[in-house]
Amino acid sequence: MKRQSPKKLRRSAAKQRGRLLASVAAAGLAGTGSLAHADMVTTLTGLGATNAPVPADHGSNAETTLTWNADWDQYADWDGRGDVYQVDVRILDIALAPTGPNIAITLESFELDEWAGGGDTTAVWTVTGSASGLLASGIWDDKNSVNDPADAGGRTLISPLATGAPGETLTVVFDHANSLGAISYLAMDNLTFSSKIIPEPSTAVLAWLGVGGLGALAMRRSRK
Amino acid sequence: MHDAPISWDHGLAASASRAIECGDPYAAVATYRNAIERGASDLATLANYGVLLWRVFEFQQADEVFRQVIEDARIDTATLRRIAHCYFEIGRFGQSAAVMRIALARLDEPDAITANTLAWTLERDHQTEEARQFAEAAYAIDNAYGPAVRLLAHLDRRAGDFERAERRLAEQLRKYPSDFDWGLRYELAAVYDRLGRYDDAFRTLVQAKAQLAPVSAGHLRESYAIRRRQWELTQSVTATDLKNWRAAGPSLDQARRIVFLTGFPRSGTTLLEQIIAANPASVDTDESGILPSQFIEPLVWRAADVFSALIELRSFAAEQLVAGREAFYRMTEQYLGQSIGDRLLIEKNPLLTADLPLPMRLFPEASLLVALRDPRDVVLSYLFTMVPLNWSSAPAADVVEACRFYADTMRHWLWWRSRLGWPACEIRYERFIADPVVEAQRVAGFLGLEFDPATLHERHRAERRAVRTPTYDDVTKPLYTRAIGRWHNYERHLEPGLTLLQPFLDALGYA
Repeated sequence: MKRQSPKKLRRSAAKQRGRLLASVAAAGLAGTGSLAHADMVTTLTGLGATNAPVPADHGSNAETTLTWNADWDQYADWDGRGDVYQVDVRILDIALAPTGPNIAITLESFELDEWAGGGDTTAVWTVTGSASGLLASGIWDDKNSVNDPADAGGRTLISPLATGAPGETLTVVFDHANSLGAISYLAMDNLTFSSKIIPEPSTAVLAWLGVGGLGALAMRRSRK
Repeated sequence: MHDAPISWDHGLAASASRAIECGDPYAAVATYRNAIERGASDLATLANYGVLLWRVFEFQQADEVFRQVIEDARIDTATLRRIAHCYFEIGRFGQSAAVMRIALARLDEPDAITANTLAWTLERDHQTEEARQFAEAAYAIDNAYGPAVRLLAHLDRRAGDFERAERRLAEQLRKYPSDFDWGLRYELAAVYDRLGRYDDAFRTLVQAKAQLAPVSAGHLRESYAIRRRQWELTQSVTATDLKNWRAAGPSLDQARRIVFLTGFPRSGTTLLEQIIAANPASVDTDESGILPSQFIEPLVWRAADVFSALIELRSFAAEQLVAGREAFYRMTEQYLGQSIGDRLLIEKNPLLTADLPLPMRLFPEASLLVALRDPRDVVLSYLFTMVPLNWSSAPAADVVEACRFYADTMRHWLWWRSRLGWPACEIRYERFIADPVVEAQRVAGFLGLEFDPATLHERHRAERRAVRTPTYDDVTKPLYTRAIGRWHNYERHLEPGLTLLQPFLDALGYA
């Protein structure tokens, strides 16, 4: 293949003002290196109109449309820890839909928070993709009667790092139907999600960044 | 919908994604392999298969698949960049540049991104003249393209033309403000530092970090969680655990020798690694990242809690440890592109200090080299270094976070120093620079290697395989002293974090 000379490039066609790559990964070539790709990261940090509903499309941006279940409430300065989203009924969900078929969404993290005195609280959270099915799930019992015997409440960070396929809607569900804790003492905060545009020209290839843990896999599978 | 002649198989990709999310990457590879055996030969499938093979460390097989893909004239630039990225990630900058040349040549209209990406790969391959030419070409295509200006300024700085670098960057920031201003400011801060304009340097660095703050916040939270888990585990490992793990050593295959080179980033680990690895009886990995990504993250960081991690570590049977060691060496040899044989493997990872339990469990016969440097110089250098944002770089957000990260990491070494029982050798950067022959000889003696003073010459380092990590430029120069005591120039800026460093200044003899 004939090399393109740099001089020829300089004389070539008109300047292009292509889309600048805003991602921090673009400049990682100075360090241990990653080449260009774009990410939009959003963190939703609560709303302060206590007991007013969270707007259905709160937090939506150019690449992701959020749909909040109608029973989510705003809450200002939750137990002294800032504005939050109150989980005011037993089961609530939020859908995150990409605005285009080439956009993949990742639910990065969120915090669950129990108000002091909330009792023996447990909550099941799931992240499901509309095509992929269950992507991540967990049981939050950091503030149940065993782990928080003084019922002091507080919050912890959960990082599902669940990524959908391009064009796939993610739904995160918070379910404390089987919890013995008080119904209105649970809140969610700092919901962080990101979106990435997957190029789809004549071909498209993924980074497969989710692959890892091969050593752990080898060890776990070797148990006799 | 796209009506391109070759469509992207979302179904195959989704199937493979599900397998990966279920923790079975080999099933994902098999999904693609089966599809190809059944006749799928479209470029998207082949390219995805190649990258998947890359991710499971089957680099030779991936190479063959990539060659098929690259030779097809229909392949698009984005896919070629993805393939070039694979080579770049493991330090094969020459191969990465070769793919980017093809990408550029196939464009009807060259774009700044592709030209500049080629320029960067050439720069990392130390082909600085050609890198400059392509960066200038990228700039000519688009004057507003910040990464090209940054690379040109970086090349100016490498060549010692600091004034030119400063003019270039300052003008770009003034004329074309953009989302990439933080990248230009990191480079400008480094230039101001070399010009002796220390307050300007720090002010510029703070501006860069402020722009990154919204993105780094999430990584910082992750960093806290990982550091919490690391400390919980370190404190939970008992003297009986260590004794039992060492006792298990003889039942494992100990034909190979391994030393872990750790400390904290910016403590001289790369320089030390380069000098030791100049000895033909050793081979180094230059931070392959295999231990953290393939072992520590799933077994320790992502365990449900520290007790689960500790129980699993304790419960590993001999056959599991053997399997883990074999997997580690297989991946490492694939990464190196060569067999280790009976050479000493230098497994460098500056942050392994905080994750020693798992390596100690897996390699009870290993020894440890710990690079130390004045914590104030370490933190200063860490603040100035520009690397992709993740849990270990996000603490560079400000002085206090950086000092906290240093403290959270090095407290592990202070804990292990008196408890470890593994052969360990500390090397101080300042002493090494002051008397490299004596110190290098001491290290060689500790490792059981013969020492040749000629290996200290920078020519040996420049001739070796290109360095992947941030100090790739520094380690090919003669040993210099200007980095020692550099913190004095920034003392008032570091002041908010110094109380966090004081225990380490005292314990490590830098007070």
